[in-house]
Amino acid sequence: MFSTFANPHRFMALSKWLLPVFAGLGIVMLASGWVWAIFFVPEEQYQGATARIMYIHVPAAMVSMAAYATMAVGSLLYLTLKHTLADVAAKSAAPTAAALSFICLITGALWGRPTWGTYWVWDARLTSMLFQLFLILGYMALRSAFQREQDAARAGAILCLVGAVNLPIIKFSVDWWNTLHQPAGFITMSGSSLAGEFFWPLLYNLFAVMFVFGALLMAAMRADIQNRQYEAKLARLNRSGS
Amino acid sequence: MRGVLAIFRRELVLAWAGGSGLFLPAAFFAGTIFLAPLGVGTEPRLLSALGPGLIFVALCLASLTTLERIFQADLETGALDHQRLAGLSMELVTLVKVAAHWLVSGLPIALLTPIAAVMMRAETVSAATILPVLLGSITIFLWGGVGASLTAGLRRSGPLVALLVLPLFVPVVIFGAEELNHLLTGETFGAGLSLLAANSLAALAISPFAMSLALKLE
Repeated sequence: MFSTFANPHRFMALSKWLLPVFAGLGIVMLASGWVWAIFFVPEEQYQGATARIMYIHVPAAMVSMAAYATMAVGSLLYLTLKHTLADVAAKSAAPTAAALSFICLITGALWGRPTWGTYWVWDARLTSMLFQLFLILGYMALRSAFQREQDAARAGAILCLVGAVNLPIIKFSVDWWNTLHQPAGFITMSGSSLAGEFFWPLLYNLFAVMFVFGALLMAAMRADIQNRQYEAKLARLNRSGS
Repeated sequence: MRGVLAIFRRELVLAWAGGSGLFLPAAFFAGTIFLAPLGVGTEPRLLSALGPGLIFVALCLASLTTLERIFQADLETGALDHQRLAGLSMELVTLVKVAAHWLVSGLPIALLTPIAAVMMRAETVSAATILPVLLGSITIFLWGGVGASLTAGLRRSGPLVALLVLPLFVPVVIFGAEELNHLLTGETFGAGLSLLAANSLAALAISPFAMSLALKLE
């Protein structure tokens, strides 16, 4: 099954029409999802309008983790099957993964100010997200340090997999540390749990961000493949010209 | 096996011949600890509260100072290629190199811990104080070795390695500082020590494969 879609030409043909579909769905759903969340969802009982940050914060957090998982799967397939398209996918997912982690942290900080009274709390989930962001930035920095694409691909894939193995350990250790040092004194979302009127717009926004991620991933992959094809063509022309 | 032992001996001889560089990480570690009271003041309760965390942060930073030495020179001179061509398992070779590096850079730091703890005004300092740092430093040097192997082919890789491996040090700092805090306040071993040991074993199982794969870059 992998080999069917691993063919770059088939990927280019497929993504040519899938990309506009994802991009269109993403933009329309994101815009309507925000309108729904900001104007039509009833106010949360304890936090009022502040809880509406959730509709950006939670999808960003979940999709950034999915994006890191995409990088890890791509890296694994690249290391085992040596297929360039898997590496292109891992590489292309990284900037979006970093951006979504960053959005998650920023919105978390902005949400923390009115609810916890401070921009930054060493909350377990925020802390894990911070280290995920560092892992992704490290991946991008490592790749950009290499001249040759194959070197960058292999080093990046190894780092990404080491990070993927460590991420659950980091998450566990941070949870452990958090329960030791932080009495759970702050208000959590579980105060109201998520009733249907909050759940459905959240799910809708989650799908919106997923479509946006899919569109960005495909756009970046297409650009990367076109760049490779262009360079290969240039090399051929140079050879035949000289 | 004899070849691997020879490499181990060679690494130690090279480290010894390198002169003062041998004690660089330990000196860096001590310097970081000694600077802290100048910054935060000499209040004993504050210092003893900060001590365990500071010792582990200093350990992480000190480990970064000489990471480049593990593989870079051997990659440039072709020594690594020779060792591969000699039919040695690269997983074992990388592991032995990290072990030798740990012996000359990590172990001295662990041995310095009681002194550092006394200077941070810890209540009870015993030989057991060494244990959390000893276990933690194994993990730190193994992940550090992975970072070093990934950047061995690059020039001036120092700051990059720091960015790559610091997130991997998180569990060690958390479990280690907690356990050290236990010991320094006169309690017995807690769950932190088992978790530190488990973490070292995980690093021991994974890192040799990552290192040998990374060094096939050239």
